[in-house]
Amino acid sequence: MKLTSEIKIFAVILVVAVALVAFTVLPTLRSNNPTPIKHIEDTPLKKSDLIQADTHIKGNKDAPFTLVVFSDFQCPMCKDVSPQLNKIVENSKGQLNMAYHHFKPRPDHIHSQQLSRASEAAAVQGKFWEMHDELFKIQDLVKEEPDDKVDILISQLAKDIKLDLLKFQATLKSKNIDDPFLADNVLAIQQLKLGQTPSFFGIEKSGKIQAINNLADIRTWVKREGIPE
Amino acid sequence: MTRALANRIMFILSLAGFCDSLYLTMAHAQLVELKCGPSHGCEEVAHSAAAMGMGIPFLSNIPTAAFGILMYLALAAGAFLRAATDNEVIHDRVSKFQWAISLVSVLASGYLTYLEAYVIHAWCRYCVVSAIIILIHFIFASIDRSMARKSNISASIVEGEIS
Repeated sequence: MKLTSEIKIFAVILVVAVALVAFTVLPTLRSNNPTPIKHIEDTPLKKSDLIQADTHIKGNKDAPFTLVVFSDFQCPMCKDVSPQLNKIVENSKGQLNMAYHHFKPRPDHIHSQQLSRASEAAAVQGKFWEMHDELFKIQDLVKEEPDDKVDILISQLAKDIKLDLLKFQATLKSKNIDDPFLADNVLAIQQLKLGQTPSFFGIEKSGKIQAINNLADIRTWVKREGIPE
Repeated sequence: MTRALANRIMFILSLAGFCDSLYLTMAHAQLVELKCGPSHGCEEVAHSAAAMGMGIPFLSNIPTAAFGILMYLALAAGAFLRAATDNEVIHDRVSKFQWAISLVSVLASGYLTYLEAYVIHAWCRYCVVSAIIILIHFIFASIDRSMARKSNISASIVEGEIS
């Protein structure tokens, strides 16, 4: 193969492309350590800011570690990570529990509040996490449906997880369950300045709070803290 | 516009498309963070059925972006081969190969764009960029084929006149 001027031009193009990739993509490669979000370091955040008396906890209530999740029932990534988070908590042998907060960052997730209210109504009967798992299963179904159809789907879920249906529907109609949902959103937006779901925080034994970017970083955090996997 | 220039442009487009697909595949493997902007559209697309095997069940173990890597790599290799050889037969065959691959890719990309618009109802900026790249590539591949046909006809006429 002769080194013609055309090959030289192609070689230059190739070198420029490789250099562009090296300067743009390589710096964004993930490190092995969870990366703290800057604003968390600047905020005097306490465990009590993230976990209140009415916060939904999955797993051992007295676990030394807590994974706090801000999630939205209409967010596809939240649905995607949910079973894996459940598994991480189950495998932790009581060392890690999970706290759930509602957060709706996207206005086009039109049923988020309706679904969150359903989970809160189930929580009144002690079945928040059962409803939580079921609501993610109907995520694709509710996307295009009007509110009344979504209500029917929610009632079906309530039957499936053996809730007292009359009590469930009465709770749904009451104003009482608006507050925890709104409080979660205020916490996410005003104090934590979150912009997306799912958002994660790890609370360590010492009470130190670690912002965690994604599922891969949760696994790294779990490993680093010596939590059974 | 010469055929050499068209080939250079196709090479640049293939590399751009390759980088785009590589980024999406790396994001799928959680090696890089997928930067979606405020709309989060690419997150929705990245977690839809179409993100794996182009939504085709028996290909569902392979990320859709990985097909893009293979396709752009083939197109870039074809453009490089044309630059590296003076053999007219190879030139012509590779040119047809580039056109055919980009046609298939435009159709696949059109299907994925349809899924974004009417099934997923979310737009992935990186997928849209790839769709635009392959469409422009196809236009240049078609111009290149058109110029090849014209030069073949001219050559036949010249040969006919000589004989």
